[in-house]
Amino acid sequence: MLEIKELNVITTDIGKEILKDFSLSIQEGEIHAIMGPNGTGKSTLSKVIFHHPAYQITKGKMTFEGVDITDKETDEIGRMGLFLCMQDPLVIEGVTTSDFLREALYEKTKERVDLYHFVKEIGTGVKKLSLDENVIHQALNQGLSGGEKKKSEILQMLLLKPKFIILDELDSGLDVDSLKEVCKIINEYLKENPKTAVLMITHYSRILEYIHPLFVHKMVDGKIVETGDFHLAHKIEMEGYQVVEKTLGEADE
Amino acid sequence: MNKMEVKEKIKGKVVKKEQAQKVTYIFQSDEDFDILIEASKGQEFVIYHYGKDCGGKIKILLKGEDASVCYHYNTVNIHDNQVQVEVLHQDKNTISNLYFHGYNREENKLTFQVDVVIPKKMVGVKANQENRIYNRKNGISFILPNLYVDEYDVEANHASYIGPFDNELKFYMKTRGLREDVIERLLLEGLLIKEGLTEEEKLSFIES
Ligand SMILES: Nc1ncnc2c1ncn2[C@@H]1O[C@H](COP(=O)(O)OP(=O)(O)OP(=O)(O)O)[C@@H](O)[C@H]1O
Ligand SMILES: [Mg+2]
Repeated sequence: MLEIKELNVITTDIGKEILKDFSLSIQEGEIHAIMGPNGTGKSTLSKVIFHHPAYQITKGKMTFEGVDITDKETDEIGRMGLFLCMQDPLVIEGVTTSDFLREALYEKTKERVDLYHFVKEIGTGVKKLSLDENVIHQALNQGLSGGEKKKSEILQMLLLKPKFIILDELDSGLDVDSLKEVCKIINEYLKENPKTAVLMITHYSRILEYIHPLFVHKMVDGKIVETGDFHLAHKIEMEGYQVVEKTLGEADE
Repeated sequence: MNKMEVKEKIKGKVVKKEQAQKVTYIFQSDEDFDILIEASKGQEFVIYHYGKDCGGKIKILLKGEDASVCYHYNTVNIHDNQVQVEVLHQDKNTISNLYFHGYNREENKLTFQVDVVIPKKMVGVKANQENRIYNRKNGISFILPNLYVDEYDVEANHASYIGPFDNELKFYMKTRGLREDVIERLLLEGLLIKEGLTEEEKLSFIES
């Protein structure tokens, strides 16, 4: 479904190398998790998939459902059914959650959104996520706590019905109970849409106990250095990343 | 006496709502304006002023205790225009809240000059202003806030921003599939449209 082949990525401004020979292949319905230390390029990867202008791909390519998306614009990629749940969602002043989502739905489907169903659906989502009903008519993410912003991302996901979901540190900001709840909602969505694939980015294995990954990738210094199953997550949590970096260093010598 | 005087013509309808001590005005202008507002004791003015490619003068006199004025000016700018605002806090505990928002569409000049005067002995005065101009092209915009404060016991704040729409924000919106032109429209509406316009008026204002 998503194929990333030998990607090299630098920052547009000063040419800092971030992803190096990065490859990843995710099939329909699969759940993958990437774990890696701070600053290793995880969020960068998620933004590069969406063609963020701050990054430049110098080598390699990406395809989604067989279509080359390496040079596609961000909004086109969004309309193809990819969804990015951001590590730090932004506030959009003056644009209500409801207006924002209605426009997004229209852009995606090119059909005028049936107001009755829309209101019902967004209302159900808000309730499921235990968000305050008022968020619907407030500016997107304005006045929300870190955890509530994450819930607002998932609300958007529920309405936009993506085929591919990237969760960048969903667990940061959410308390234990909320994380459990939100993961349950995501699992329900995946059950209803079994072809949907997920790429999770996380530091902790806790979220992986709620959303079970088929593959866990360890990412260090801009590339995947080890792939395994759920057990790899535990190993990483026990040992940290240092071990890997050291053995890699030794291997180089 | 409580009054708003419009010395030069304002185009379009002026909606006036009165509610006890509070008066709300909603209007549009498309040629240069000269506005005088005088608020007496306990009076509250709320103004929504939509300016289409125009400038002018706004003078606000807060003449009695607890008088307050909240002025929202929203403009789409095409040619060179300047808006000059003068607020005089002439009594104690008077309040001014100013929101001047502009979208500078072409490569011309848009200036907001805002002078707020708080003389000695005017204790308890609150004066806030929040001014923003978004440049679509390489227009030159100026926000010149001047606070003349002679009294210590007052609360005065100002914030201003001049620049393009934030790229990170646009990226975030694009990931949801929104096209550039839709994003601009949504952000513009968010910046400029506050209250009192019908859907039609909104569109014609944004697209002016
Ligand atoms: N636009 C940019 N310009 C310059 N440097 C950047 C830019 N974006 C990311 N970087 C740098 O690239 C590295 C990777 O950043 P990234 O945000 O992808 O890390 P991460 O793996 O998501 O870390 P964390 O776990 O802390 O979220 C960091 O050193 C960061 O400072
Ligand atoms: Mg990150």
